[in-house]
Order: sequence, then C-alpha cells, then structure tokens
Amino acid sequence: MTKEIISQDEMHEIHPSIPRAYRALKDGRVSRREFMRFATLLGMSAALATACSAPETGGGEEAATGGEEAATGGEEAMVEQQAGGTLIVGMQTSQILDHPARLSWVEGAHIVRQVAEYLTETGPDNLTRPFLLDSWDANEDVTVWTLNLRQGIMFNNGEELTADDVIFNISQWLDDEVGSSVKGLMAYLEGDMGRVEKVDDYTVRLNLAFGDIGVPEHLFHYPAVILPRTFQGDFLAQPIGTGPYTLAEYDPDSGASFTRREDYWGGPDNQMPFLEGLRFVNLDKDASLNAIQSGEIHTYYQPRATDWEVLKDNPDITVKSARTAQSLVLRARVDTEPWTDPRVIKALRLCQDRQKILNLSWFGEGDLGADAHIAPVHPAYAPRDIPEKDIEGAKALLEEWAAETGNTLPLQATLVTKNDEGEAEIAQVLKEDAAEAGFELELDITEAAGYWERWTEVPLGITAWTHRPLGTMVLPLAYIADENGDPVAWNESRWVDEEFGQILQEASGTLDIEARRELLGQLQDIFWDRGPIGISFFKSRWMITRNEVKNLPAHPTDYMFFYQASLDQG
Amino acid sequence: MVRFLFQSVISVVVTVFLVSILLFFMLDPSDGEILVKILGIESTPAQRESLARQLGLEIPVLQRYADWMIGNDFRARRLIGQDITQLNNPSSGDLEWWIDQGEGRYVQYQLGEGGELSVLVRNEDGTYTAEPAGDVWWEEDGKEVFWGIDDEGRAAKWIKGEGAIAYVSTQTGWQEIPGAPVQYIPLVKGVLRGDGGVSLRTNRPISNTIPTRAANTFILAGAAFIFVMPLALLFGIIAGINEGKLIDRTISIFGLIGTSTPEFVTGLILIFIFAIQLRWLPALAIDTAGGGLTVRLLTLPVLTLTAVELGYVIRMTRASMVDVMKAPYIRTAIIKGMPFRRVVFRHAVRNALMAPITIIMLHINYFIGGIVVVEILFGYPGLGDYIYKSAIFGDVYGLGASAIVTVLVAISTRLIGDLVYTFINPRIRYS
Amino acid sequence: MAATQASSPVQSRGAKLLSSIQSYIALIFTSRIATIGLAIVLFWVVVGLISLVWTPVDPNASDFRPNQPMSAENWLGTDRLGRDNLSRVMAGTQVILLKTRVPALPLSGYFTGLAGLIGIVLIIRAIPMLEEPNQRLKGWGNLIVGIALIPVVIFLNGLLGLQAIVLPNFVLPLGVALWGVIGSLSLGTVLGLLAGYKGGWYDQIIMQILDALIAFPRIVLYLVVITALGQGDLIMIFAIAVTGAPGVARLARSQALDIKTRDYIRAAETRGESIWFIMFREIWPNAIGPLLVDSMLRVGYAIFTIGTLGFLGRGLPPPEPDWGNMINVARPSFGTVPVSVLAPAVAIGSLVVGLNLFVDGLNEEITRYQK
Repeated sequence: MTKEIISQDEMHEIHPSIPRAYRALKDGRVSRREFMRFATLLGMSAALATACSAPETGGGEEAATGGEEAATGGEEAMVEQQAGGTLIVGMQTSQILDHPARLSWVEGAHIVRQVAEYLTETGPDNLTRPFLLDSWDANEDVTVWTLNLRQGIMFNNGEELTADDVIFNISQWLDDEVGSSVKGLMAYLEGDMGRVEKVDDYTVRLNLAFGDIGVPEHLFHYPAVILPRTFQGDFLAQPIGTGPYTLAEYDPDSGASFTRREDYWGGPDNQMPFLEGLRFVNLDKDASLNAIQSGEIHTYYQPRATDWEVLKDNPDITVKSARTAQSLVLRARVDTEPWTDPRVIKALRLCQDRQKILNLSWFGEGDLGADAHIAPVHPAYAPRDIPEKDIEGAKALLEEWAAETGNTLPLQATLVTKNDEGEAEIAQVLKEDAAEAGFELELDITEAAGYWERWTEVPLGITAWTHRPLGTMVLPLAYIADENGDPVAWNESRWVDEEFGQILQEASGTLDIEARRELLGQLQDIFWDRGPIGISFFKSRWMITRNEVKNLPAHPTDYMFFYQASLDQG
Repeated sequence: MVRFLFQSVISVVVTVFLVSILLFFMLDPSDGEILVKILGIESTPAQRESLARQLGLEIPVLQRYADWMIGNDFRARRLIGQDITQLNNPSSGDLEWWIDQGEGRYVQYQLGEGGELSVLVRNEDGTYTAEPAGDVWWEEDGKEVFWGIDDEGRAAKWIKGEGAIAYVSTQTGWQEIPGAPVQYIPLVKGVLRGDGGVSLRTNRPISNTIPTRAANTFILAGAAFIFVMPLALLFGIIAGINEGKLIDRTISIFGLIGTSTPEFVTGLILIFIFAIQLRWLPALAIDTAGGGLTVRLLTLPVLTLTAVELGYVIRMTRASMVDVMKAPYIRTAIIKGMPFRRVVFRHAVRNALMAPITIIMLHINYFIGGIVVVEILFGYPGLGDYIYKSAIFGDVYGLGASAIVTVLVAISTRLIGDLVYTFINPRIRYS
Repeated sequence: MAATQASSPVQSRGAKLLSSIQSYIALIFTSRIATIGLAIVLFWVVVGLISLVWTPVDPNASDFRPNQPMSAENWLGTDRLGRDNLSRVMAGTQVILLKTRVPALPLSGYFTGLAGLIGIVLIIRAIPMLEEPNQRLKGWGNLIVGIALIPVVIFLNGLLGLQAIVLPNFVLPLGVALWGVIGSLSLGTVLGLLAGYKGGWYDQIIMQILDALIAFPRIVLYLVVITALGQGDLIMIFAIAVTGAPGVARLARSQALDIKTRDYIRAAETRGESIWFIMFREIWPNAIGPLLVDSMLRVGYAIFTIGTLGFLGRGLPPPEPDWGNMINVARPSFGTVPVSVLAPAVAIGSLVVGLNLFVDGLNEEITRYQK
C-alpha cells in the first residue's frame, strides 16, 4: 500500500493537533479539504498537507499530482501552458484608487493585486495557504501567531521583502488616518502596534488580545496587499510590489495595462508569469458580455447569473464555477412587530421552496441552504437535511400565533430588497408562495444604493452577504451583541441569543475540526429552531473565459489572479 | 448684428449661470450619500466624516458653489500667506498644488507622529523629501495653528498639539490621531477658469478627462453627421419632389420607423447580427488591445445613430422641399417650360436646404441624448458615457462640468444656426 | 387654426372650444394617415384598459420556465423570471398611458406641494399687477404672500406634526407620459402666453430662463433630476414637465404674438378686461389647437424617453412592468430569446409611430384647409 509522506511524529512536531486530525482524515471523519485547511492553519506547508491527504490508491505518483493540484488551485493541474500574449479583461476601472489599504471596491483591488501581493492566499477551493509567507504557526489557544516570510522575494524597485515591510503595512492598516477596513477585521490587535513584534528580519509575531482562528484569512482581505515600507500613500505614484506584473499605464477612464516582470519570485523555474502583458479595459458588464462573445476580450470580472445563462452553451467559451458562501439572506428585525415572535419568521421560512428559488434567482447554480448562515463550502460545516416547502406547517404556526396574540390573518408585511443580484426574484417567489400560508407581502424593491441606505433599518428585507472563507467569520458580524448587550452594528435582525453567542465564541477558538463541526452543527440547529433568517441557497460563482485562456480558475470571491494564467496562441 | 451678438453672449452667460445653479444645488453632495458610494457600505461613520472634511463638504454650500465656479486658490493663498501654484506630476500626469517659495523650491506639509510639522520639498520627478519644518506656527484664539498645503495637494489647517493628544475633533468628539489637519479646502481654480476640480468618482482632475472625452464624442458625432447628412438630404429631396407618391410614402415610413425605434434597440440588434453572429465588426467602439480609433470600430455606433437621426432629417428636408416646390416662383419656372430637373437642382434644392440646416442645429440637443445611449451601449469613452456615469454616481463636479460643456455646445450650435440663417436669408432681421 | 379664426369672437368660450375640437375631429377622419395613427394609439389604449381587468396571466407571476421562446402557452415567450411577456407588454401600457402611482406621502408633503402651487400662481398673478399703478399694492401683497407661503407652510407642517400622518399610496387615472405632457403644457402655456402677450422684460426674462432649460440636453436633465430626487412616477412627471415646458412656451409665445394683434383682443383691452381674462379667455382658446397637436408629439417623446431611462435602469419603479426596463432585463439574453427584447421594443416603437402619423396627418390636413 502507500507509504506515509511524513510520520505522525513529524506531524506532531509541526503542531500537536495535526496527528489527531490526520487520523480523523484516515477514518473518513473529516474531508481532505478540511484536513488541508486545518493542517495549513497550524503551519504545515500546503504541498505537504496535500501530499499527506492525497487519496491512497496509486501511491506516491498520485500524491505528487495532488501537490501540483494544490499549487495551481485544482482544476487544471496538468494543462500545457504557452508563454506570451496579452490577456484582456473587461472590468469597470473608474473607482478611486490611492492607498490600497483604503480600498473599498474589489475592482480597485484587482488593479493593485497584479502588482502587489498578499501574505496568504485563499484559493479557489476556499482553503487558505501561505503565499508571501513561507508558513505560519499558532499556539494552542490561537492567541500568538508567528508569521515566517519567504526569503529572497524582491519588490519591483529592487528592495527585498523583509519583516519591516510587513510591520509597515500592518501599521498602515491600523492607522485611523488611512481608514483601512483591515483594522476592524483585526480587532484582536486593538489598533495597537505594540501587539506586533519583529522577531527577526523574516519573522513577525502577532500577540492577539483574544484568540482567533481567522488570522490567515484576514491577511488575504482584499486591501491587505504588502507594499514596501517607503510607500507614501498613492499607489499610482508608487506602483511597487512583489507581484508578477508591473503597472505600465493606468487611466481610470480607459483601463490599466501591465507588463510581465522578468524577476518574479515565483518565476524562473516555472516560467511564471506566462503572459507577456495584461490589460483591464473599462467596460460595464453589458458591454463585456457582448465583447466576450465577439472575441474582443478574454474574460471579465464577476459575470452575472444572467450572463452565465447566455454564455454557458457557447462553444468558444469556457465556464468554470466555484461554490461559495455568498448568500441572499431573508431577515426580519426581531425588535419589530410581528417578528418579535420567532414563530412568525419561522412560518415565513417554511414557505421557501428552496429549489424553486435557486432555479429562478440563480439558475439552479448553488448549494441549497437550511436557514443557517454557514455554508456547505465552509470547513467544519455540519451536513443537515434541506427542508422542503411546508405550507401546512407554516399555516399552523401562523394561525397558532394569530390566535394567541389576537392578530388577524392574512398578516401584512412589506418585504424590502434591491433589484441587483437575484434578490428581487426571491422576493417574488416568496410573495406568491407565502400567500398560501397567510402572508400578504408587499414588495418594495429599489436599486442597490436605495437598499444599502436602509439595510439595517427595514423590518423585513433581503440582504446580500458576501463570501467569507470560514463559517465563524460572518456570524460575529451579524448575530451577536457588543459588550453593552446591544446588537453589533451589522446585526440587521437585532437577534441576540445567549446560547448562540457562547457556542460561537467557543467555536471561534476551537482548532479541532471535529469539535468545531460539532459546535457549528449546534449553531445551525439554533438557526433553524429560532433564528431570524432564511437562507434558501448559497451561490456559485463563475469564471467565464474564452477557450484560449488556460489556468484561470473561478474563485469564491471572484478574485482574479493572473500569475499562473496563460493564453493559447492559435 | 453687433447687438445680436452682444445679446447672444449675455444669453450664454445667463444660461451657464442658471444651469450651474440648477446642477449644483440639485446634486448637492453634502447629504452624505456620496460618502457611502466612495467608501463603500462597510465604512464606519468616523471614516465617512473624515472623508467629508477632506472633500470640504462641511464648507457652507454657497461658498462651495462659489469655489466651484470661480475657484478658491486666492482664498487659500490669503490663508496660507504664501504663493501657491499648480505643477504637473510626471508620474500621473495630473496637476498638483504646491506652495511656491521661490527659486524653484516647492513645498507641501505633513504632520508627523510626534506632532512636529514636516516640510515636504518637491524633487524634479514629482516625489518629495521630508525635512523638519521648524517653528512655523502662529497664534489664533490661544492655539498655535498653521495653514499650508498637505501631501494630497489640499489647503489644510493644523493645530499644534497640547501634550500627548494632538487634538480632538470638535465635531463629534471623534478622537483623531495626531497629524490630521482640522480643516481642509480642496483647491480648485473654478469651472469658469477651466478647472472643474477633482471628480468624486475617479478622484482625478476633471479638466484632464473632459477634453479627451469631448474629443471622442466629437469624432463620433462628426462621423455620424457626415454619414447621415448626405443620405438624409438626398432621401428628403427625393421624397419632397414626389410628395404623396409611393416613393415618398416608402421613404417617410422607413424614416419614421427608424426614428421611432429607440436607439438602444437598434444598437442591440446591430451588435447581435454584426458582432456576435457574423463576427464582422467589433461589439465595442474601443480597441481592447489599446490601439486608437478606426473606421471599423466606429461603424456600428454610427449606424445606430444614423437609424435614429436619418428619419428626423429626412422629415425636415422633405417638409421644406414640399413647401418650396409649391412656391410661386418654382411654379412659374415650370410653367415657363424650364426642364423639371433644372428647376429642382438650380432653385428648389438650394432654397429648401436652408430650413433643415438650421433646424438640425437646434436638434443637436436631442442628438446628444442619442449619443449618451450609444456610448453606453458600445463602451465608448465619450462625454455621454461620462455624464451618465457621473449622474449615476452623484458626482456633482464631473456631471456639472461636463453638462456645462454640452450646454455650451448646444448654445453655440444654436447661435451658429441663427447666424447662418440670418446670413443666407437676408429677409430676416434681428432687432 | 383656420377653423377657429373663422369663428366669431363674441361666441362663448365653451362654444369656441367645442367647435374647435369638433373641427379637429372632423379633420382627423379626412386624413387617412391621421386615422391610421389614431387607430394604432387607440389600439394600445384599449390593450391597456383590458390589461387593467384581464391579462392572460398575472404579469408579475413567475409561473413558467424562464427565457422561453414564443409558444402556444406564452405567445410572446417568457422573461428571465419566468413571467409571461404578453401579459407584461400589455400591462406596460398602464404606467405610461393609464395610471400614475402616487406613493404613500406624509400629509405635510401634500400641504407643501399645494402651498408651492398656490405660491407660484400668486407670484405669476402679481407680476402684471405691479405694472398697473392702481393695482400695485395688491400686486405686492400677492407677491409677498406667494413667496412667504412655502416657508410658512413648512413651518406649520412641523408645528402640527403633519409629517407623522402618512396618507397611503393611491393611483391616479392617466399615465406618467400623459401627466408629464399635461404638466409641460400647463407650465409652458402660461409662461409662453405671458411672454408673448406682455412682451418687453417679461418676454426677456421668461425666455432667458426657458432658453437655459432648452440648452440642457434632455437626457442630462432627466438624469440629474432622477439622481437628485430618486425614481418614481411623480418625479418622472416632474422631469417630463420641466423638459417639455420650454418648447411649449416657445410655441405658445409665437401664437400669442400672432393673436394679440387681432381686433377682438384690442376690443377686450378697450373694455378694460384684466390681463388674465385676455390671456385665458381670448388668446388661449384660439391658441390651444396647435398646442394640443404639438402635445401629441410630446407624448411620443415622453414615451421614448421613459423607455430610454428604463433601459438605463433609471425608469419607472417596479413592480408594474415598464417597457424600457423589460428590454434592459432581457438584453443579455437577446441572442437566445430575442422576443423578450423585441416585443416591448415594438410596443414603444408602434405607439410613437402612431402618435407621429396622427400628428403628421392632422398637420397635413390643417395646412390644406388653410389654403
């Protein structure tokens, strides 16, 4: 049979918890993906973790392929890639771009991240691996994180990347005047540079105020690119980074051009980057959709569900998909009538015909949800049955509530949402189906901006939540109270549940995957039992390219990385 | 004639004034929506407020309007007490404001960590070298203050710190770290002096963007004009001569259908047939590989505009032609036995073209509407696209400046129309 | 025009108007083109009326598979939400021609709006009074009350707490395009008649302001208004009224310039009639014909513009279907389900063609009649 890549003792040396996880993997209790996430979290290198977790049949060779797969993100491990060519991408480029740490639009991040890179990378498979880092270590209660930089990485201004640069960047993230959203994410640093410690030229240590398993994911937050310590605040004046391309030209009106960097650190042995040049053209999505069909662009940022539908059968075009935790959350404010009674929102939740909603809102492309804000793509997700539409059950609950409180049915309510990424469709379906159970929903559907102005205020709404790599990352933003007992800023439902909060806190500090799955399962059950939200499905996202584009995988947050992409020249 | 011109100039001034007031006060950005658009919904109130100050939105609206129209550099110059000037940044190509201390020394200021002011001396290549500024503070209301230009080219007021905390923002009690100015004036020379300020949407000087965009639109409109006019006049004349006959009805009906089909539908159909199905022509009006404009790129947009505009000009020409053909002198000529062909080409056509040409000049306004849609449809980086995006974003500065450009174009074409009309038709006198 | 000129000035205003309208109706049917145009327009009006009580299926119900081509079940296919295109095209007539949705507004909103309207009327009334020495005092009174009305009402609204009383949303008869044109017709006529009849400084000032509005490219003005005020039926009506008024005013002014030289006007002036009597009892009935014909064309423009804005995603708000928005939504799938784009496009196009034919035919007949 197969030999072990490394012994369990060696695993123990990397981190005491890894052997246990490894045994769980061998017993089939955790999946390969979960093991990899766990092992890399604890500092095991990605290639090694992949090798350990490779399927047993076939032995060493297969394991080597698995390693390759991890490096390229899965789908296209063994494609033959040609060098050269300029890849053209459609994307709106007209957003403000000055200090990358201040970025609030992913489009701007796409310009920046071809030049500057992140310490870690969450791959297309939703696993986070070291990137500019060689590895990271965390202590048992995940309060002390040691970040070990790869050595010999050069910025395109000829300087070497060192711990000083990393510390400079963290100081920028924490600087109020810069106004970076990383600061809020890294709340465990409490805005205090005293918690950031330089160990040596290639090692930085973070001493957290409280344990958090999400540090590697936070280092991949889109504004968190690593800039040189000489950075003065305007990226366009100083487009310096360690990335595979250099910025040749940027005009927010027409787009951005990049040229290949010869001395890219990921370069010499494997030719990366393959592309000679890269161009972002300032186009909206409708223009992009036409242009990709007529062959004027190779791909474009964030194709919509409707675009997918048009392009999926086009013989010139390749569609790749990624499962995500992006969701459209039906939520009720539990501090407003009639939603103070959990039975009412539960009745509405029971009216969801989840498959129908997924079909209409997202063309059937996604994972069905069970009203818990934890997605199947999250490591440690606890599988649960997907509930069927249950009009009778809903009716019973609603009638019980009406009889008790003296309300009359049908229950009138206004459902507010935006006409943007499939929300309107959910509202429409829900309105029709819930009518049978005794709801009379009036729809108030506005443009995206109109909804975001009041998304935390409306009594009943559908809000789009983005993908976050870990199940424990979104919950503290939306379902807990602050230290005074008030709902946190983004707690749009105002729902606070003591038991939920405790379990969540425990889960956020629990490394062991099985133990965490147990905890997440409890959270999912609480969501189902008395939660304030309905989630019918989690979206899939797509990378849509012309056929000549190779090795450009779909990513759960629609991030595009071109260091390993190439073009077939026909 | 002089009087007429004088009146026209007054009219232009009044119009621009009214238009600017209308635009500025309708799109007043100080209600904060724009901050959410710039910073994203994830921003905190503190960040939004900080940005509002940096954009100068807390300045009273009348003052902001005056700044936008006539500039505020002179105001800033008085506050700073030194000469200020705009210099080109070689790396971005944008103009930036610097304090001119003479002898080629240009400086900006920045407050460092320790609460000490640094002076940033500009190097030839647009970067700067920081030096300690020394004691430049002056007294004001018992505090030590300093007005200068900060490292982003805005006039800014600093207050010297007392002890550890440099200062606490007076507006909401929000604690700021030392180093942030308490007040900003985003410097601008004013629309009337050719500087519309910095776009809220792209953070780039508007006066850099508009000329290229307007030139692009001019090319597109010009191409459409050159294509439409001969065709339309020809068909219009043919229809006019044959009033009531089958050929007249056919031309009129097709013209009407073209005009009544919205340009976005025409454009969609053309793109689908010629770009997506046949792959003969590009679906975009820009070269995605970075090259310049070509006839190939402009073909579909021009065809789209043609479909809509052709019918209108045909109608005008036809109507005018019908009128002229009924005029007594034409009838006389025909009765006198002059060959029909010669009557038409010698007399009728020349007289008939007068009316449509002037009417077309007035029509330019409507035409701009078509251009906006076509530019959006084909991803063409013209003024129409810029206006649309600015409007959607609520970028009052970008929209204001570009709308004033379109208004000026509309007024001047109308003026030219009037002049041409007076010139070719001496019977009309302007009093 | 000829018909109305022939009628005697001593006829009562109502009779004058009636005979004017009668002669126009007679004209319509003498022109084949006008008749065809009218038939097309009436077709859509009838379709809209039917859709108020019946459509094949509920236009907002996602009852079918999305993006289906034409079939026996869905004659015009389905859109991307699985809604029946035929029902939606039919119901799309409503917001344009048949109904205007007034959102739930606080009572204070109505009061302020009403106060604004009265204020404007008072101010306009005051202007000619200021010229008459014996009415100057009354004129100033009107002017001050007119200007003061709005802030006073806003203040009173705050005091009475009317902001808290919200009237529910309701539906007005006639669609957005029609109300918009009615708005521009009223505004433009008042200003144009005033400018034309009074001349002098009135003419200068009014036309200057209207020239500024004309200089504004239409679409830019719409985008500005919608960006500033948001999307809504009332806001669209406001935008149509404001953009249309200058054109109406120019026409009304030229009519007034022509009519004011007539004898019966001089007679009325000699009788000492007030300027408002002369403008609205004497000039208006004689000028209204061409203005109404022109308005028909404006309804066409308005429909076209509503379609364009709908296409740009800035049109009339959901849930009622809006043709421009239908095209916008169906646009990505144009290659697979062209009917979803073409059906509403044909609706917009044919309605505009119908209005144009109607006006063309009518104008042709009028010119012929005059000769």
